[in-house]
Amino acid sequence: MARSLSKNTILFTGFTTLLLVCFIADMFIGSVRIAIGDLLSIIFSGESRQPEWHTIFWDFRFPRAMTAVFAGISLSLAGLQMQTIFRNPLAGPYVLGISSGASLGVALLVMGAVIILPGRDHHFGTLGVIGAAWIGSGVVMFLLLLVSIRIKDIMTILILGILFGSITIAIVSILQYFTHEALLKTFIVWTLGSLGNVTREQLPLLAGTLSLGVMLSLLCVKILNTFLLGENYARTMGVGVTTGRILLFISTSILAGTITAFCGPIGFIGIAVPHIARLVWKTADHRTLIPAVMLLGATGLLISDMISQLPGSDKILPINSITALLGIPVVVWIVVRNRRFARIS
Amino acid sequence: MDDRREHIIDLVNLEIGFRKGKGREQSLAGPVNTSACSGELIAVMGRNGSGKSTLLRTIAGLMDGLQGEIHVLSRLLAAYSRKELARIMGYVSTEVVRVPGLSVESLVALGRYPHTKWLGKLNSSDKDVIERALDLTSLQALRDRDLDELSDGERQRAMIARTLAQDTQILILDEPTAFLDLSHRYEIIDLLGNLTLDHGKTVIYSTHDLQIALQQADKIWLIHKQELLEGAPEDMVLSGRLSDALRQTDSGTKIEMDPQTGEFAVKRVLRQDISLSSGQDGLSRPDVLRAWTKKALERNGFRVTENKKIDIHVLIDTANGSPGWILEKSGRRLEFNSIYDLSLYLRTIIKKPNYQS
Repeated sequence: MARSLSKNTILFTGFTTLLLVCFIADMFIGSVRIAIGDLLSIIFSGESRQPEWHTIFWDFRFPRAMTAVFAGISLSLAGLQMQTIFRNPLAGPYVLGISSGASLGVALLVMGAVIILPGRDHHFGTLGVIGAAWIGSGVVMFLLLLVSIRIKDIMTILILGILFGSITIAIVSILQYFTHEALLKTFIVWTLGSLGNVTREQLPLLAGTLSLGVMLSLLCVKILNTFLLGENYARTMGVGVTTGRILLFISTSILAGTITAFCGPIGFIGIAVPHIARLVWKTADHRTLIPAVMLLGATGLLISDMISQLPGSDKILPINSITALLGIPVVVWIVVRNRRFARIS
Repeated sequence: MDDRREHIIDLVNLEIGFRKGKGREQSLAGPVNTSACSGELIAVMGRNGSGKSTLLRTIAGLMDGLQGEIHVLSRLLAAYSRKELARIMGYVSTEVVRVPGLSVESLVALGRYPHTKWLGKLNSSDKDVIERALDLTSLQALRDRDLDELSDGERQRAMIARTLAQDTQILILDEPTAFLDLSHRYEIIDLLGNLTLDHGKTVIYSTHDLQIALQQADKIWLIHKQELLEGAPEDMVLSGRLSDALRQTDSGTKIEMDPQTGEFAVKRVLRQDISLSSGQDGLSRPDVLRAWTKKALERNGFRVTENKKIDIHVLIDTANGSPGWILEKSGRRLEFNSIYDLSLYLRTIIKKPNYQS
């Protein structure tokens, strides 16, 4: 026991340090070069040699890095919960149809308006898009909760989640067909994902909402561990399976739904990170895995953000492509290297 | 009936089965009236689909009975909260659980969950219970192994150890010996038997393993034609209920139970008579040799008689220190070194049945 404790201490210390390093490094990177000394003086004394650096730092880089941390934490935790609940290694934060619900919300706002009220000038603020995405994923979550109260079989819920997602995608396609190019572009930009949409003023709101999801998850840590053995075992170990499932669905919807609303659907972080955490910490215990995926997820998204900034250039790649390019090989590698990860069930 | 032992579980007019929705029900068995006492090992038997698992799942509170009541420690099962029930009843299902990264020790520690607070922190008495569970199931050497690196028998022991750590009066196990080889089947049931004998637990398990149940169980619950028949294994054999219930097959193959040993065997059509005799000297166990030779002859369709007038005769020859078989037929004499060789030859001379063309 003592040995594994110190091993865990080393791992957690190491990865916390890595997270801090990545967080600071992420704030260096951007189209404008700001030297380290200048950054430090902006952070600690609030002064800078050039006033626009102050703005660049506090209004762009800091919120973006914080958003990366929040998004990494939320998506990885949501993915871990879904993999455990569904006992499926390919489950992720979006298996419940949350991202498709959010895209339907955004699509209805951006492209539906033009069908209902043709001819007007349509302009949508960031908040409008965020709100629409939130409502969209909220509706999907609500439907799924109704289903999960009535239907006990977890595989049926998984299939229904996927089918909900497919229906929303179909509706979104119809909307795309009837809309014009400018609006279509607004929608597509949203689907590419971005960590830069969150303003400094919105950060506390984001942090507050997400901490609700994290708290729910921590509340369910024992339930998650019993879910590893399947629901019959969970029941006979005194767990209220339906209640636990609903709490975890709400937690996942808050975490993934909020991030999707603010940043668009960011893929593969939520699937890949829990696997890496299991591999690194060599455990299935959620008391270790929850903090582990939070650390790894935040670090992973910071690294993805740094790559998407294309250091040394003034172009920015969509974050969604980077997480896919980084995440998929990790999943492939883990599944191929360690075939038993392919059969969690 | 004289009930001096403490009743742990009482089934009162219990009817088990499935609800199919819209008020439609499929009843599997019932009404069942029986009880399980402390220190009792009960084997639930019956053919596939007879409702063994359904009965166990109903008692474990994983599904509802259609009618009737279940009392656990004189209190209605439905009146227990999940957590209360988890402290008095443990359950092992047929599911094969493979969780990467879950060690045997962590699995067994999960058994303490009904006794711990929200983070599942273990105190020293929890740890003692876990150690005892690992000891009882001989898993100390495997405690750091991952669950999916274990053999089937080891995994089953680990699942039982988890239930032991749950420290419950009642253990319900659904086919704990499925997938296991012979020695591991005996090992698991022996472990369960010790739990009832030494610790006074009530263990109810379902099985197809008649031989082991006959030797180890205190009571058999036999589900047959929607009824639950019960009794000590010996009672069940003597009354002929076991053989009645278990011998029927769907395809018409006839199986018969040997009332002496309780062994089931496919009933063979014996087509031809053969006589068998053995030399008296030589090997130490002539009876055993004769018994197995007789088995082989019957397997090949011969009825063994003592009648010496019969044309075919087998003599077990033990004169050389190692057994040999001499076949005499129509004055010819053939020697064989093994029952296998003898069987090969016998199969060429047996009368073939007359198939109608």
